[in-house]
Amino acid sequence: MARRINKERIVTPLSYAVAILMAFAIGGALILVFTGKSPLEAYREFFAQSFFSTYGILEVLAKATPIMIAGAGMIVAFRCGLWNLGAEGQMAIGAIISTALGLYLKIPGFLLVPLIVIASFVGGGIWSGVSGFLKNRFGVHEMLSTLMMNYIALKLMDYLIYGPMSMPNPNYPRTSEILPQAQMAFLKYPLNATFLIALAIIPAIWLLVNWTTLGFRLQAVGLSKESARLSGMNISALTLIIMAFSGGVSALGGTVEIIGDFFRMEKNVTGGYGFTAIVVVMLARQNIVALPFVSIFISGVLVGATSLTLAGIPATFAQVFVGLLLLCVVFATWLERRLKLAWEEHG
Amino acid sequence: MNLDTRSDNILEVRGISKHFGKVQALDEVSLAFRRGEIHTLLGENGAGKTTLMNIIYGLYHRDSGQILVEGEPKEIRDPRDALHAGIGMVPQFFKLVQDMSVVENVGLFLRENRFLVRKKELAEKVRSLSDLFGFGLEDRLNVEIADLSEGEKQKVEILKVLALGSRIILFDEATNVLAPNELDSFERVIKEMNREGYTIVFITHRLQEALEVSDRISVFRKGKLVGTLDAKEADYNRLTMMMVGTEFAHRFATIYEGKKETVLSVSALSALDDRGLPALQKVSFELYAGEIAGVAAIEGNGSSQLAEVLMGLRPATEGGIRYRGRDITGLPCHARMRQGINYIPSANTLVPLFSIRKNSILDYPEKTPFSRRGILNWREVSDHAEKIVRTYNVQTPGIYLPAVKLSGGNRQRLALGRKIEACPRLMIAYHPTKGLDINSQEFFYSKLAEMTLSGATILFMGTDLDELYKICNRLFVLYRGELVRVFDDLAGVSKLDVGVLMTGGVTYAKKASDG
Repeated sequence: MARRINKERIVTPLSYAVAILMAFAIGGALILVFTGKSPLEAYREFFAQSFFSTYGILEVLAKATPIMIAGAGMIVAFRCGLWNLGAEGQMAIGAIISTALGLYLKIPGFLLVPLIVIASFVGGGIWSGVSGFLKNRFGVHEMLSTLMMNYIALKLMDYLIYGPMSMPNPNYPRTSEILPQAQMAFLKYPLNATFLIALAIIPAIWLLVNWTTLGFRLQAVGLSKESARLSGMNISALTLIIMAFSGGVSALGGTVEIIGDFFRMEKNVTGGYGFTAIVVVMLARQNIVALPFVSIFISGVLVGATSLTLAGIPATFAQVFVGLLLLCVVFATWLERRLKLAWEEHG
Repeated sequence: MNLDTRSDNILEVRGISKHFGKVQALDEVSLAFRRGEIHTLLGENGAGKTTLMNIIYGLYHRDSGQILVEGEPKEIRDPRDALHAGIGMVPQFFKLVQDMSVVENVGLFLRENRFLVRKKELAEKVRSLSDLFGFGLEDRLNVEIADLSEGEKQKVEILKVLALGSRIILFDEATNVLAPNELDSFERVIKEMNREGYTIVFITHRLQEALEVSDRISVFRKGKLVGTLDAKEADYNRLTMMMVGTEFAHRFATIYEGKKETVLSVSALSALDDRGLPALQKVSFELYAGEIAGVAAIEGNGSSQLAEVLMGLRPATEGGIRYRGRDITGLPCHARMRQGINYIPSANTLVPLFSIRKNSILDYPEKTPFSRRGILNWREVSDHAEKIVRTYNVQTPGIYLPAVKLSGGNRQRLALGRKIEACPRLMIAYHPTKGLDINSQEFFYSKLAEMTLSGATILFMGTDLDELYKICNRLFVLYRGELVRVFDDLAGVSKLDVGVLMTGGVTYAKKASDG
């Protein structure tokens, strides 16, 4: 028994390592074929910018912050069998609320910052709670409603930036800078203290899912709706709670962008991290413990890719690479299953 | 009967056995079907009749035995082989494409079985078949399935096998899905097909139908063929005895002598089944503290719907339910559970990917000591899970194993253990011992008896009469959704008494004397 568990522990990292190597190999081949540049050169530049310099590492962690938070929110829903794909929009709602409070609420920072965090959480929760309500009431699939509500939120944000919340005479569409006491300090530039928020959310969600009766019920509903129903669980209420909670957490991804990075709202302040987080969660296989590592890795890919332009490779290669990675991990999942089967057969 | 020179038995099975896990579903069954007869297979739930039919149609593989078609041994590995041999099946749950027309559905079935079809010819063929047997679908060939009644859908299923040229038609619980007013039409169709020389094998657990339509009746009990009778020489009492057996096993329960403190009172309760047809009709009864009340009913007569309505999993269309003096008719399932009512459904209520430990508190994570203020105490949960595993004999390497890795029996013992350890005040159990081995059954009965000693009430919907007789203080009989009889005292009650009521014998006798 013990030996088999050890083997299983080997199989998973092994197949992941194979997947990552494969992605780098195929990516390298693509670089060689389409740009004629040396892939080794490109990768060296890539790592020098992301993981092999202090500034690089700090930037990678900074960029990982919103991804990690949005991903954490998403995992709560995914673990419960609900496909909340609305993190980008929920981030926008978080950003709007944070900016509004940060601009206009003139109270001391030790009150303002917690208030901003709580208000964003509640606002994001109500926003994605709508999808939960639509699912319970009209049977609208949450995948559709959350996805479409992204665009409503993003357009709402654009409207506010161009209109009511615009700064006087802007060079380009944006709001004024939020109050200084709402701006979180940098641990070491460019890494902001909001990174600590992200780090706190991970264990909090882990505790919620594994150590509370609520988390217990949420998982049961996610894994077997019929058994949960027959065990007297209130499926509608739990669906609503899950959607709201998940959206609330994801909204904080927008909050950290405002109070820890931009200090104002401007176009694309959410930066597509809500969509990147979907890939991250899939790569982390909806595992909250794996989430920070995958977030940092993907953030590293995004940061490193900007350096590729220096080597004459288009920056969009980062997206190609992330796509490749996803495909390779799908392959790794298959590989893992085959390896486990083989081991079971041959003892 | 047909005057044919070929083999008299168009289909024959010899020594067929089949087991599922530890359960012997069929035990050395040999049976011959004559050309052009209507042959009914009769038996209680789980008697083996459907298993036999599925083996003949190639859906299951037999453990041993032989199938002969026209006197020749035939290897039937899948339904395609069966259809090739001229055996078609009309399934209980229709396999039709809802948004395709009648003709298209028939065409789909033919093509699936490697026939080239031209639409015009096909339509003509379907029309003539429908006309020949008086299906009344001639003008509705282009109507979509979704717009047909259940009876019409069944006729489309029949058309499918007829169009493919099957000569032996198997009907699986054909009348279960039909509304009462469609039954006559169904009988007519069967007799019409029979007149055209088709051989019909008809599965039912309803005695009346068996007597009305068949030439011969074969009765199954607990995986064995009890006997085959000519319909002419069969009568109600004889068939009932063959179905349920003659002697009751020894009695376990004593006569209930409690002081009749009412726990649950149900008045004029009605409900619909999944198809919107009446499943329960004005059922009224009371349950007392500390008793085990049994419900004797053959599947399809309303007992599963009764369990669901009592648990708040199915709405009541009429009537009310009072639990310990409170009206709970409108309460949802979770609210009823919080008040101490629990439910053992026939379906598995484990979360497959949850560990045994997590499954051990699935319906009551909020209970102390398993959690306090919403925070789980996994050590207490582990102790609880260990206790269930030990007490209820769940064979497992440990409590962290996902439930999905347990065998069926172990899963069931885990689920039963969890329910009993919840210490409900009222337990509604629907076929709880189905598939359990004898020892586990006995242990379960003794646990139920223990529960009643502490004042709990149990409504037990049993799989067979022996079981009900053994453990129940009182017995309710449901037939076609009506509570036809309450036995307050089971002493001196014979199997035949109950069996006749369960199968509608009383109503039948009345109808016969009226007619």
